Amino acid sequence: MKSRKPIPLLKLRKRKHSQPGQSKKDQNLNINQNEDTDQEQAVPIHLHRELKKNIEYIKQMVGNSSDIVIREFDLGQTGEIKIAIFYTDGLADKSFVNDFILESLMVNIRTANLGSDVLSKKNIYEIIKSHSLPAGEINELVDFNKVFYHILSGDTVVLMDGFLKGLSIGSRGWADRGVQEPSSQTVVRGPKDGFSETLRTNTALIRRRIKDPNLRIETKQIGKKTQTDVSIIYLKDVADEKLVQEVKARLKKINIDAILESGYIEELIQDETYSPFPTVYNTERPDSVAGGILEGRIAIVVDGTPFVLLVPALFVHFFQSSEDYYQRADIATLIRFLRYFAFFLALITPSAYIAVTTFHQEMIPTPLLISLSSQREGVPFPALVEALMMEVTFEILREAGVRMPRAIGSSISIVGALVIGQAAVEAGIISASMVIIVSLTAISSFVSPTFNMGISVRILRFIFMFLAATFGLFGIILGLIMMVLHLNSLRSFGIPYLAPNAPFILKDQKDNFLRLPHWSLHSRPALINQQETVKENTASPKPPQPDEANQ
Amino acid sequence: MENVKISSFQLFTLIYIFILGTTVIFPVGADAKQAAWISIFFGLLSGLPLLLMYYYLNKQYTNLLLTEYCIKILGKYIGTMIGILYILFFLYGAARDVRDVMELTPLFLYGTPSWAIAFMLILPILYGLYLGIEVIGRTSEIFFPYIVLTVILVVVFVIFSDLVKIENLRPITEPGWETVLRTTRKEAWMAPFGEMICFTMIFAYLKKPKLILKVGVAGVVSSGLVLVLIHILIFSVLGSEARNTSIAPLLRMVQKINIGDIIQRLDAFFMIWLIVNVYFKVTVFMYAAVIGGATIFKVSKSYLVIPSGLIVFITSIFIAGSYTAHYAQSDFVLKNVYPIFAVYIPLLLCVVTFVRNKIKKRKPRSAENF
Repeated sequence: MKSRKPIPLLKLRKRKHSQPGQSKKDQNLNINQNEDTDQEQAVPIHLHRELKKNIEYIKQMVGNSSDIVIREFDLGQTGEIKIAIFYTDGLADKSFVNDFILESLMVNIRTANLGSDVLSKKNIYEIIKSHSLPAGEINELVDFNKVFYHILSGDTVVLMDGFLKGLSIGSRGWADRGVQEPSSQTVVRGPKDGFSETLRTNTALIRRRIKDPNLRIETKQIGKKTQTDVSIIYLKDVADEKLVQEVKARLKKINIDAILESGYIEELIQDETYSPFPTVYNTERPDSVAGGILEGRIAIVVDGTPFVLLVPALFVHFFQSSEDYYQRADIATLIRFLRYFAFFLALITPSAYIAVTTFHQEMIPTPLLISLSSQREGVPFPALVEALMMEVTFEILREAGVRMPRAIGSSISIVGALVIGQAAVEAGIISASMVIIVSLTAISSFVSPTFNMGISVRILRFIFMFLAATFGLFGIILGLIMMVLHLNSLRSFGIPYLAPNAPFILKDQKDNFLRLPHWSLHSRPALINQQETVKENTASPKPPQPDEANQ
Repeated sequence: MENVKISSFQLFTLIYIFILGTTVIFPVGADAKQAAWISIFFGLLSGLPLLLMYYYLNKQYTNLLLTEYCIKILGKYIGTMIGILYILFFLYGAARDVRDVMELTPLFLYGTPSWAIAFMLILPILYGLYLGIEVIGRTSEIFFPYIVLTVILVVVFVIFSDLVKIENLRPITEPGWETVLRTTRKEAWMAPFGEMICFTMIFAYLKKPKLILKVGVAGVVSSGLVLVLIHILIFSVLGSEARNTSIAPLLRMVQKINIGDIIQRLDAFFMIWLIVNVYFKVTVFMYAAVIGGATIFKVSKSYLVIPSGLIVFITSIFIAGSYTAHYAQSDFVLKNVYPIFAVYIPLLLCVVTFVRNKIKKRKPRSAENF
């Protein structure tokens, strides 16, 4: 192992702030530290010295919004200091605001029995800031943009009469779905927690898995109207510095008024828009994200969605499930091969059927050919029309099943299985073999561990069906060549999409189609990771040598 | 020239697929009867010096393409003219290979007009050319395992179907050594091995230019040996008479495969395999033409992709009236035209460069003497 450079003391002290393990609210500490100040914003309007005017301005800006709470009160024994707090009902933790902000400002300061010379109008700001607020996260505010940002994201803002600045106190706490099992990617073996809609919870789930001071969580607000928090998370020293800069640059370029889901970000930063293949990975599973970060990839967490993005995302990543690393290596390898096989089946089964039955009947063994043609005897359509009808029907069924309230779900399966499957065959509209083909295709397309790769297959399948209907197997192979050419032309954040297969990287084959045992996965992926490539040095486990005394 | 690099493995796969190309389908060297495979073997041996020559040229002008160093060596006017001739030659080579596929159309898509096949084949080629050599190289890398595995499968299947009859190969040199050598000179030398001249337009992209010779020899020898092996297999299965009169003896052999009445009639699958081979062969030819045009006329490669595609498409249709005419033309061209481009011009370039280098080296020495 290479020895690391000693870290200067100063740096260590800084890092301490971002250590996890304090109370949930205190983790809010680091969110605003890395705020990008150069963000495009309206010309900042500075706070006024008079509290009254400030309150008026805020009231004017938020209008009659019923959820903005403004509480004015007087401070000090004589009550000559006017003060007001602002927070958004529902976003701020009410008990925290009452117990720690209001109580300390209204009650505790009085009982502290400070002399009137200490608690004067002049130094009240300093006293409140440094002595009387028992809260972890405190920010100084000078302009209204910041004031509104903090109020509307759940913090409590304190403004005092006679000062050009105010304070914001981290008091975010709203109704949250909590950490639940992810619904889109379930595993048999592995952690069952999933991301939720709150950014802080999500970063905490990642931080809990990687307790390394080098794990960087950098946050900025994107969206002029929504001011959505977007964090990029990476391991410094493991992630390629150039890649980090590239991700930051692409995020900075975004100029949009709303980010409602990470899909917005995905589309705004991906390399190639006109491609059926995804070049950004999304997942609900913290363990997948942690694994990706440890490979040197960069996670992008967006507030308001449980789907976290991982870049760069290569073709092979969409065929790897985090469970592969929890299962035995040989089983994981077999399952990976199965996934690629299923991908292939989902892609070309219908088209191969069309090609063979229309152009290459001689390929089918004679008994099978006879049984096939006797089935197709009563069917009035050519194979392409037959296949298209069934595939479209299936796509409709699937779409209906996804959007449908759960209570009606069972009727879908009855309609699907009985009416469309059995009755269509009995009525002689389609052949039984076509039902088998479509079912096989459908099942195969569900094997992919990620949803978006399944969708690309669905689109391409139809193109292949048309190619097969016009040029048989010749059309299919040309389609495949086109597809591979297209895949090869894709890049995800500068990294060839089909790596490590093309360009072929021997070193990375240990975790590609194969998943070798953990003790042999010595290095991180070559192209993604440029520095600190050695991952582990465990020797392969060996049974203890037979002890002579035991024999 | 594009500003990209390809890895040595990618170059290897390109060479491998290129050499197998269409040669593996057709009855190459039919004159030599059952000794045709020996002709191919000699073709392989005599192809190696050509490779050495191309390597020598590339070594003198690393990072330059054939059309570029033509101008450097022979001067602006003659160099440009020869460059243009080369482009035409590459386009012709591409068209000839597309025509080869068109001749096979009735074997796998009965009733489809052969121009439609050519058109469909050229579309992905143009897409590949548009994307550039890096993508083409990576794509060949992806298809390489498929190409290799299929050959292995066929050999295994043929052996297990009990089709191999060694006596078909005997007497080995019935036609006589002279005929064997003449066939080599006439066909087997140029057909896959002389066409390696295309790679003078690609060698410059190699990430490690030192490895060109190694990779080139490895590619040519391995694919050449596979070619010889396949032809031996075809002879031993079909016999020299059936092999030399068939349009596509390889397909005919594959048709005969039958293992337990389950694995049989694989010829359509084989057709696909051949299409992949031809795809890369035509792509390499056309890439050489397009990139050559781009360097000579100083335009972006993308402008030349569609025009060259049209030229190849039209040429492949009108190149010959029938299969016999196409075959006769191939014979003539392989014997008389190919050597000019694959041997004589490169040789001329080599000699000129060599002499020039000698003079250059002598000059400073003579300067010292004074």
